[in-house]
Amino acid sequence: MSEAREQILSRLRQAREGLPDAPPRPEQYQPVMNVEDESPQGLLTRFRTELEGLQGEVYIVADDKAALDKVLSLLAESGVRHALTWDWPHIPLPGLDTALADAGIEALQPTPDNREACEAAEAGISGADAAIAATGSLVVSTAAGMGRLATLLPPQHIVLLRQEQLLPGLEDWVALQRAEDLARLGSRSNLCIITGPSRTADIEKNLVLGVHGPGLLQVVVVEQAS
Amino acid sequence: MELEANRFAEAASRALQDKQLKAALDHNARLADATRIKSMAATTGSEALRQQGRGARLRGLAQLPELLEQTEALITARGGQVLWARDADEANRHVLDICQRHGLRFGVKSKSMVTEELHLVPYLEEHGVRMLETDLGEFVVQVDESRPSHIVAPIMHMKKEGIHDLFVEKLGMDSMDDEIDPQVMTRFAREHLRRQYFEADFGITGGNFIIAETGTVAITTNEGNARLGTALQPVHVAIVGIEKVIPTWEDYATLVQTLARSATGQQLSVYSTLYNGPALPEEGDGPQHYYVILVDNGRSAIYGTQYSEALACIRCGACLNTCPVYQNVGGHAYGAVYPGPIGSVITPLLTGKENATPLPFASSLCGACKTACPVDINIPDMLLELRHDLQQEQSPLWRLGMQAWSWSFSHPLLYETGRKVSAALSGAFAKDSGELRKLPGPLGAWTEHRDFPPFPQESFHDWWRRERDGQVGQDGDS
Repeated sequence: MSEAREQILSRLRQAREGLPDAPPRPEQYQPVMNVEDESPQGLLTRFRTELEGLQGEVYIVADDKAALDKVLSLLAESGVRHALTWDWPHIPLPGLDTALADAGIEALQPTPDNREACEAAEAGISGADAAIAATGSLVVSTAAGMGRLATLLPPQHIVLLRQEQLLPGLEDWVALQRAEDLARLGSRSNLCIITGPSRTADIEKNLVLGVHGPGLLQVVVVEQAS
Repeated sequence: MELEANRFAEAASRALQDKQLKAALDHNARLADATRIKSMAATTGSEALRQQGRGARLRGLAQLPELLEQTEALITARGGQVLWARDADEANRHVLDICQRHGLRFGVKSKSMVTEELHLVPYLEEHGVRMLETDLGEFVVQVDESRPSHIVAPIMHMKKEGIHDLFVEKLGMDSMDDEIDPQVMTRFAREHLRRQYFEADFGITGGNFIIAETGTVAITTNEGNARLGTALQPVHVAIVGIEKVIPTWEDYATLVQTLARSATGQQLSVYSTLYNGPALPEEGDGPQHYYVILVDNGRSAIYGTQYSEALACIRCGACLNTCPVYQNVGGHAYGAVYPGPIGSVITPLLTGKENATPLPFASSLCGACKTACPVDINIPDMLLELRHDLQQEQSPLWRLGMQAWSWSFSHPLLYETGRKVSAALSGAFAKDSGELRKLPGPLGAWTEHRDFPPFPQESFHDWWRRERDGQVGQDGDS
């Protein structure tokens, strides 16, 4: 063990008596935002309102067929020829691989050896772990076949989401992780809560989209079968 | 640009003459303050959330040694490496060692105040490692060879015209003849930086929080630069102050939202990125090597003192934006890495009080900073405490003077005599209005920017005696 480590820790242990009293951990945390309507339809409406307020785009479709059509038309609109994608099983839209191939769009999964090709991709396509209605956010975590680059590198990012994946607030997502298995969360090398397109307001508070991440964030939500 | 907090008065006077700066601050700081107020008001209750966030930070501090050990164990178990640094020199050497071990020549860096505090970039560049700032504001500052003036918005002091001229002159951007468009300048910067992300062999980030229960380092950006700067490069080094620890994910859920609202008025920053370790072997991107450097650099000396609360700061910048002093003089005048109200507390504590004597006085103690703080840090009280400490450490002559002052105030006859003498003397210096434009000797410093009010014809004591005697006369029964 390093000398620095021992010295820092022992200094902290010796000095801690003078600390201000910390309140006990609340039994119930107050959420930052309320979501009045937690019905599936209410969550979808809220998610859409919030994300559109951040200049993200939300497309609600009735079924997988309509979702495929929507994805292809979004790609066609920006003339995409190469798409960086998650592995197919992680994108909740069966048939996407063949649909892309039929449309003549080359799909690419990043490896450490194909960075040049990744750089040329005009769009990224991914799923998400969950979506947060109150803030219009998407939670993505990494694993084999669920890379960072598809959500980050190209100027356009298309996310496929099922309505069932919507949760009211960030606090609800945390509660769900705790109920399921927090250790699993720790086992992901990286997670990201994405809230809107990449942006900056550094220059005189002027909002500019697409600084280092995608400037175009498009979420296609497949409605829950009722 | 040298940091010189002891020259605050001089730097502030210069800043007040700067019309460009004034225009930039009037626009940027006030807008940021108004946005925060609106954003916090839209929550389920800003005061309750402030206390919830404060509780999270104070619990993190209360268990700091244990939570740091827990974090280290969890990161190590996942194949990351945790390094400890007592001071800036040790932290910088850790980074250089990592560079040498992996043969790293060029790094991309996202915004981090602790690396500013360590002067990491100049250190690495001196040792042959090239560093590129990727946050747009920090990039502008790096091209300008100056310093950030705000902990969240580094170029709050600049107007777009200045940035335009800088890009044209230093980076060969095409000059915009008509209206200067921030969109075009941002796109230019994106393209300029994009290629370099691929060339870089490591990424450096700071850390906004460490979530102890899973050993997770949390970073928020709006641009995506931290995430991109740790997705393409084989090595990621996160440099984090030891005080950043919070116990749980529930604490994170509160703080990451109040941080965004307080900093920029957003509900959440665009990329709230959470790092657990190096990429797993089967992942197609992400770093193969992950280092977390835990930096003390003066923090453990604050821990447990009456200034402990300052360690709860989450670096949102709200106290800067709302401060009437900051709004007028800007960040550079403080001559410190951390400007504004919280900076006036932590700069003397981190760098030595004698190196920042004017800063605790660079406040009207109006309390706006405490009201704005998302974790309710009592900044005005700590500024007062620091003034008191500095007083104790003042020259013996000054202390003697203050003692004499206090003695005369507790002895009515002496006080009365002193007042009468002063009033008589003041006549000699007074203008027609009776106001004193210039006091003699060292007292002149006070009148440099304001007049001294005239002494009244009749003092309160005189008035009181007269009134009291009169009352007794009128009532006749007491």
